[in-house]
Amino acid sequence: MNDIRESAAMTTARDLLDLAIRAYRREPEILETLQAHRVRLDEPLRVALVGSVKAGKSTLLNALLGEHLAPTDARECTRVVTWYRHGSTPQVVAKPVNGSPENLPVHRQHGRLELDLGDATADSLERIDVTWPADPLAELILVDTPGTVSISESISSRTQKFLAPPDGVSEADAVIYMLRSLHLSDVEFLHDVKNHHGRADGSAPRSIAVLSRADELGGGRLDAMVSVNAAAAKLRTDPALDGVCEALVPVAGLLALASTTLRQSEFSAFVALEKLPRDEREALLASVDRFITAEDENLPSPRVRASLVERFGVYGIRLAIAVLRTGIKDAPTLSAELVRRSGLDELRRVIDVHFQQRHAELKAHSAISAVYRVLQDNPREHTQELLEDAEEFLANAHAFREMRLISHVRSVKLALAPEELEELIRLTGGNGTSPKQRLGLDEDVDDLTAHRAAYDALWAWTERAEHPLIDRDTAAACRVVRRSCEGILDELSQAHFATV
Amino acid sequence: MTATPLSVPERADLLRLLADAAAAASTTDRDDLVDSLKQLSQRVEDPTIRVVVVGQFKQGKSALVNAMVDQSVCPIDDVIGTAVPTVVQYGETPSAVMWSEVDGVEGLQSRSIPIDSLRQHVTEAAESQDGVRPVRVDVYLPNQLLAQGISFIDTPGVGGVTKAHVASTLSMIPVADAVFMLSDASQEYTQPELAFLKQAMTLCPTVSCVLSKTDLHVQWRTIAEANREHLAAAGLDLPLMPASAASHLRAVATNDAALDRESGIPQLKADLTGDLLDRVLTETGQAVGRQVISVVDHLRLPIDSELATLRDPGRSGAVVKSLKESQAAAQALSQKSAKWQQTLSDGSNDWISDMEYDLRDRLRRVGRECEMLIDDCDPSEVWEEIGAWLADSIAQAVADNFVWSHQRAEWLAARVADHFSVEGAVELPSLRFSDTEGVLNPIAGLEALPSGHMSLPQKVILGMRNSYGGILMFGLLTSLSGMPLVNPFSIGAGMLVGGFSYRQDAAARLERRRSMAKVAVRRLIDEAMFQVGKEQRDRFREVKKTLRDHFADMAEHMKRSLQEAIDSAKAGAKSKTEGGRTDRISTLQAREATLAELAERARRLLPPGAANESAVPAGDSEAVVA
Repeated sequence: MNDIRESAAMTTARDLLDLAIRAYRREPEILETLQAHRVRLDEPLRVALVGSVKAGKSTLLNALLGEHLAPTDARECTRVVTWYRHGSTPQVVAKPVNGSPENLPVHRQHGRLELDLGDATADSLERIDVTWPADPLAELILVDTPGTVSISESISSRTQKFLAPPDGVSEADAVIYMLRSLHLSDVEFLHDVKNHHGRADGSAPRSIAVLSRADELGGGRLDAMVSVNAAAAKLRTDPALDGVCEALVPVAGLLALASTTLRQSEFSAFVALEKLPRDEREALLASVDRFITAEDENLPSPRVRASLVERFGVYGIRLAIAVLRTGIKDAPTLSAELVRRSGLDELRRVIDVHFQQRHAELKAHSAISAVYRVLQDNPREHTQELLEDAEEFLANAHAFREMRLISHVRSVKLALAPEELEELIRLTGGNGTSPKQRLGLDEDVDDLTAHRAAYDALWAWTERAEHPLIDRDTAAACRVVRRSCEGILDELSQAHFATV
Repeated sequence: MTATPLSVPERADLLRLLADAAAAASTTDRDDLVDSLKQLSQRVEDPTIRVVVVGQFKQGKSALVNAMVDQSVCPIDDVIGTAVPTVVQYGETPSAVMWSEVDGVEGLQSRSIPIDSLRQHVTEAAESQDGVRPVRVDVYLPNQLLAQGISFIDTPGVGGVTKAHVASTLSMIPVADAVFMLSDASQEYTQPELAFLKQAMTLCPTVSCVLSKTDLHVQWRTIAEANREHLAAAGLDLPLMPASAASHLRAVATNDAALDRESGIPQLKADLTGDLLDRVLTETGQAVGRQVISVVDHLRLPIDSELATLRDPGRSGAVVKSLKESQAAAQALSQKSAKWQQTLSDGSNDWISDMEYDLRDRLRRVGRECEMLIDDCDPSEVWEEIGAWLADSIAQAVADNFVWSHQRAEWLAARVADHFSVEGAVELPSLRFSDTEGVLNPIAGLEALPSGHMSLPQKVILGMRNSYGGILMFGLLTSLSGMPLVNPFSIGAGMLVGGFSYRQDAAARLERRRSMAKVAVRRLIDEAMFQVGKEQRDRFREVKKTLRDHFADMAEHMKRSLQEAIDSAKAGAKSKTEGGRTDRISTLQAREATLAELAERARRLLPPGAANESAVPAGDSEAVVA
């Protein structure tokens, strides 16, 4: 997904921004805002990790980066909104609320970044910008935020301000919301974010929920992820999450991070543990204290064991041992299997489908919302027409209609059979936005077959949309799908002629 | 809670003392005094110590309760939480009873359920039936810990589903003897947890913080340290105890004593059976001591008066006169115009108006906030969220109002009690009833007590328990959650859904929707104010009645004792023969000695300060009547 696909949405956004910049050219303050959005439009997508305190935001961010960059600690750790962007040389810049940005020294200890704020306190900083040569950052700007139900109210409110500033457009294009459970304050916050985004155009925000620290819900048992996955499947249908986020993925964050960075020494330690008799091993894993302090020369050294618990958790250790028993012989294979089981692979896929494939639309949406807000708050001569354009775009752009439909499909009672609903989600891009993904076909299927499938879908949904006995909501949904089918056909023929 | 360490009384000693006192009282036909002693002995025999286990969602509350009773009673799940409060208490055979509220039926309905199917009844996964709302499940288990009178109340997680839980959890705390606040070792305290702890502390004297799941989190010592810092910073002087239910279970299964010690559960049990049980027994002992001393004083008054006149018939006029003065004072106390009666009724009126003002103030604030919310959005889109927010905020406001008015009611009870020392210008034997030291401490054994003569603390607390526990847990919240006001608006909303397609007068429509929403909100707030206000008033009336009956009884006892004293004094003066007089004196002295011995035994149960203050010098009748 490296190609920044030009789309109608991006073009509209760029045009609107340019026109608005011209309209306000004599007003430096507004101009500055607009120009910032112009720059933002061409940047990678900004994804914010948001959740209650200690939900494992920094841990997940590190797992997504594949290295232990963001500082993590047992106690509340992230106190300043921290941006991670791609750049060839490592750099850390602190931006105070008042005053000019300041370069901070870049310390790394055991591969972890140490944020040394110097004289500044967390309260005095608006944000910290970290530039880092990590590949995943080339496609996404990741933003780590302080916990939402923090011990200190000012930290909580800082995240709130970042996501839903009272007087502007959210700084994030998309949000990964971290739930530790279906906690009231979490869901409340989700709704808050949604309401904010929905203000201008009624569209749902792009957000996915991650049931983080999923392994802990199971108390470190081996089947923790199995039962949590089952629960997540049930939660996906929970009305509380409806219209708020499009996907829910359980991730064992600690395990995900540890296994992406699995070391050979850790692999050897797991092998040693696996060789122990079952009873002995179970006694060892009775509690973390036992695990670390037990004395036995067959065991890895206490230091290694302490680091294992810290990095993998009890669940991670149990799982690693169980996985080893399936006959894995080397560290890379173990690492890959643990990453898969931690849920990180699924999360990456969901981020791709829901964020990266919608890159252009999300960017355009943020930009046009910003323009809309500026125009609405500062009406000038000649700006009325621009405002109407922006409003119309926000209300009518097909991509947004698709997103809205997908995120509300559970709450609106549509008169469709379950398999029809599934097809609806697929065709509107819920499982991926390429024509063949939408049609549910393999990528190597030939163009003609794809064409035929697209036409079949178009007919089917047109018929549904025009059925005389259908209710209004369902008819509207069917029309959106019909339009998606037309889009698929259009894209298919363009691709076909481009290759011929 | 007292500064001076008292040795913990033996239960058998208390019972013997009470029996002896009752025997002494029955020889003079003072059945009214005998009754109150009998009640106390029931409480001593069968104490109930409630330990309420609270905490946020998924902190291992049910697991802890299971570990404490070494049985898997409360269902545990990775995802689903407890939805219905579960009371685990002693019973000879394992059984469970579910109490529910049924639409259109007065009072709670009970139904026996199989103990191994609790999961189907108390978790969030429980299937709900229309019109039937489970309120509580009582589980009875044969268990050594429970047999000592301890019962555990497993509560739904605060913040689990809705804030309504906070209110209902809070409402259980005033009747608790101890509160276990659970927070797992994965993270330090958050703001809501600290806020809850503060509220809990004002409602229950014994709150313990338990750091759970220490077997899973390698950093638990860091977290424990952090939590201690937070507690200190918040000015909360509470113990923090690490515990692991899982380690305990494993230790029991594998017979591993060392692991069991590490799990922290034995320590918790020891604290409960040791400190808490001792504290409750000490408190009960004090109640027994106070009661016996007071009974002795009542009984001694006639004896002392008669002795005084027998010894010196010339003074009989003075003795009777002094007693009559006291009687007049006691008479005044028992009259409707007594000052304490006035304080009570004035205080009640103040209480009601202050409570209503407080409630209105809190709810208005919610209303204003909600209107601002509505102004910021299109209410038809987020109406459900607004409704949920509103219900939560109202529940929170009602909970706060509850804590506040509970404290006000306690304060009022103390004020009235004060009167009994101020008003009785003549020192009367039962003045120590008015001793507020320890009087307002919640004392165990509420459930087992039938109505009748009780000392102030139980009466007051029982009254309050009936008043508040009920209203918040069962009545109000369920009726609010029905949100009758959603309906009028929903009809409007249905009509307005089409609004999206008409873009022309969108602004006007939005305004209309907003004003409709505001009307609906105001209606809800008014309704809540009316309902809660009415409930609070109704329940408070009971508190007031309890207080009035209690103090009126006290005045009545005094009157009766004084009347008997006067009669005895007169009888003493009338006796003519020297021989008869000497016989009478020695009989009375023997009786007095028995009483003095009883009083001495009772006094040993009280902290030294309290005992001296109220001590009546034995054998010196002058001090009583002079």
